Amino acid sequence: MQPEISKPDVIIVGSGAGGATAARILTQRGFSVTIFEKGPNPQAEDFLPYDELHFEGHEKMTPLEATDPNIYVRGGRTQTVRQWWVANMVGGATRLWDANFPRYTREDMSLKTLMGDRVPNGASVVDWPWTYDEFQPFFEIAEREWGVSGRARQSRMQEPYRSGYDFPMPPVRAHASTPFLKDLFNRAGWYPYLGAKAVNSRTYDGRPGYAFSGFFAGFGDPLNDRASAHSTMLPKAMATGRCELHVGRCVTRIVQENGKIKGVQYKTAPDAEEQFLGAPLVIVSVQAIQSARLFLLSEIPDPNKMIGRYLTYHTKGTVTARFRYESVWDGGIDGPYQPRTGIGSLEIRDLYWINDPNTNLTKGGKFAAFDPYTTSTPIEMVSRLRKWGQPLIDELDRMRTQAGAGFSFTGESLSVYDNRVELDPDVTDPWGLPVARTYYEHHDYDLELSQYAVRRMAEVLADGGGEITAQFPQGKYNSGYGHNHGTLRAGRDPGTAVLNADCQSHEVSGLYVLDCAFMPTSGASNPTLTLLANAYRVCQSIPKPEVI
Amino acid sequence: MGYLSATRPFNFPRFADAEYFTDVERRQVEALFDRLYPSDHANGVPGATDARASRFLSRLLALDEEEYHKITVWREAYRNGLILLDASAQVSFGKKLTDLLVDQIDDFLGKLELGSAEGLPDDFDQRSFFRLLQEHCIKGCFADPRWGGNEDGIMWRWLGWVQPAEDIKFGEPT
Repeated sequence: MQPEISKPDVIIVGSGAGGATAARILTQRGFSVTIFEKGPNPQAEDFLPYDELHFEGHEKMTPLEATDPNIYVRGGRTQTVRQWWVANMVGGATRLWDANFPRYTREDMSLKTLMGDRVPNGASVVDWPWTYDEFQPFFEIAEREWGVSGRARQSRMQEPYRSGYDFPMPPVRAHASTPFLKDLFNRAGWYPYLGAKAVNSRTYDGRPGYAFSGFFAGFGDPLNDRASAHSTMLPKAMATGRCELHVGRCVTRIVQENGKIKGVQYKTAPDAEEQFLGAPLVIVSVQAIQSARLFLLSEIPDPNKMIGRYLTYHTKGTVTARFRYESVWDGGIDGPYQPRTGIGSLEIRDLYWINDPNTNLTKGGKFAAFDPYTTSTPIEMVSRLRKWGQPLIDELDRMRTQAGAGFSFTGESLSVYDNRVELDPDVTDPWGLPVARTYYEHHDYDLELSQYAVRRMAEVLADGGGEITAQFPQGKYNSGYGHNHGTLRAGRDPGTAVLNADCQSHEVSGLYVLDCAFMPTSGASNPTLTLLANAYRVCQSIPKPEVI
Repeated sequence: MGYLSATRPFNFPRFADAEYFTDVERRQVEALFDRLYPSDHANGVPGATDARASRFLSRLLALDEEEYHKITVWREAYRNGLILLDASAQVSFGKKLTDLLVDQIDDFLGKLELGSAEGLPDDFDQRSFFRLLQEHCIKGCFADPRWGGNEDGIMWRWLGWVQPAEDIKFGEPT
């Protein structure tokens, strides 16, 4: 039996970061809200027992590649892509994320102004319709409401904070490598700091401090010590009595008439009849690729052929090094277990803006430190080495005895019109809808940036006594990544943007998008905190519908 | 579409002792796994045989496909692939797979990895089969012991997974 649905002020499509936050804010403002989530509603204890093979190896958390993939087109040939960054369940990808919570900065939001006459050909570089200063209060609200641990003013390379501001919790316990690495980088003139995480360092908002279980990114959280939409926003929205959450309902079409939103069509099962629910407001937040897909499925008017365009990921790169005269990081007197994964790790923003006379590069990105030995669960860690026989054993033995450090680069990925989302003509998802078909080739700038950043990092590590064990700059082709943005760019000019500065469709009034699809340029940090700040910004000013 | 109807969406399988492989298949897989992840008992290093990684795989393939849709695909891949590998060993070394010396298995695996093992049909994807063996060997070593490998967590103890790494003490070699 499906519960009856009342007629809401707003229908929210997707119960993840953006959707749940919108529900939280709008119910607080007195709106009645109905959320449609196509997946189930697992509770924290459903993620027990911890098990790498079951949850990750057997794709329990993410859509099956065999039946629910994206299609990537590379040089005219198609390939299926596992959407490892999507979790179709209440809370969405916040149920399995890494919860890195840096802010986007002035460099991210005012790219055109800062690049000036050094914008490379073939890239569409714009300023966001807002400034960092306008975003700042909303960052602070999001950091408090989602429960972010961190510390302001550790380094001059951090995001600018309002005078007197600090995070609601101190950082989680630092990884054992932190003093060594800080010293190494400081000698090179770089100033790393402990990054902000949506992970409790102590009891906060009724949720416990982080337990260092070993299972983190890619896994569900049985303790709720990592923030998720399910453990932060939704309970508060539900407690108002003004929010209905309906699971197992897939929105198949946004319905509009003459540029005015009417509601949504949805199904309760793949073979069920489509049903309609009307509302004066519809908010979509199902990740940028999927939001563009829903716009295309719904045939939202697109006079300037902008829907799905300017898809951006991030420019990545990885460097790992071994310090053979340091023994493996063991956590010291705080206990024998290390902080697993990237949490408790350093963030390095010294190449966020590049001032180097030897290169034309301007906008760069950040590094996040990780321990190659402990950053992931063992099957994944061993598999990634791609070795077998004695060379595998030798490598593992070095990893378990000698200190290692890895650095993952997240850089600007310039917006290109041809990088885009379309509907696939052949492949359908379990609901019978065409899946997303993506086209993506990195701009040459991205490739040069990644090579530059990787080389600079390798030099600093080698100078500090590290033996470089791997260097992987970004390749030209990109079949998909968890940080996906653009596709429904926001901007003041209806001629060049799908959404307006309030993230409302230029063509359909009452239709809003709150995932990263609005982002006019990619930025160079993990995007979710900025998504959340934007949701607070937008939802505080959405006009309340008149009683009809 | 199981996830839509399930009230508990991540049900674990009912773990049992049932195995999929025949005795011969099990010994063939064990011989290959033993070289993909070798032991070094003198230096306290456990390997795939200590972890009982081949038992892990045999039990995994006996599970209901509701646990993972690839299980049925893997069953076929191993049943056909092991016969072909055995024939290939005969062509290259004049011996059954299970009679090969360790150096011969290393040589054989090295060729399979590159797609250059002899006596295999052209439509048999050697590289994919090698990667499948490698994947299951690692899973059999490092998955939770509840799945039938990683006996007593021996591989986690050596590697140092959520506990300090330790060298494993083995009895006198026999």
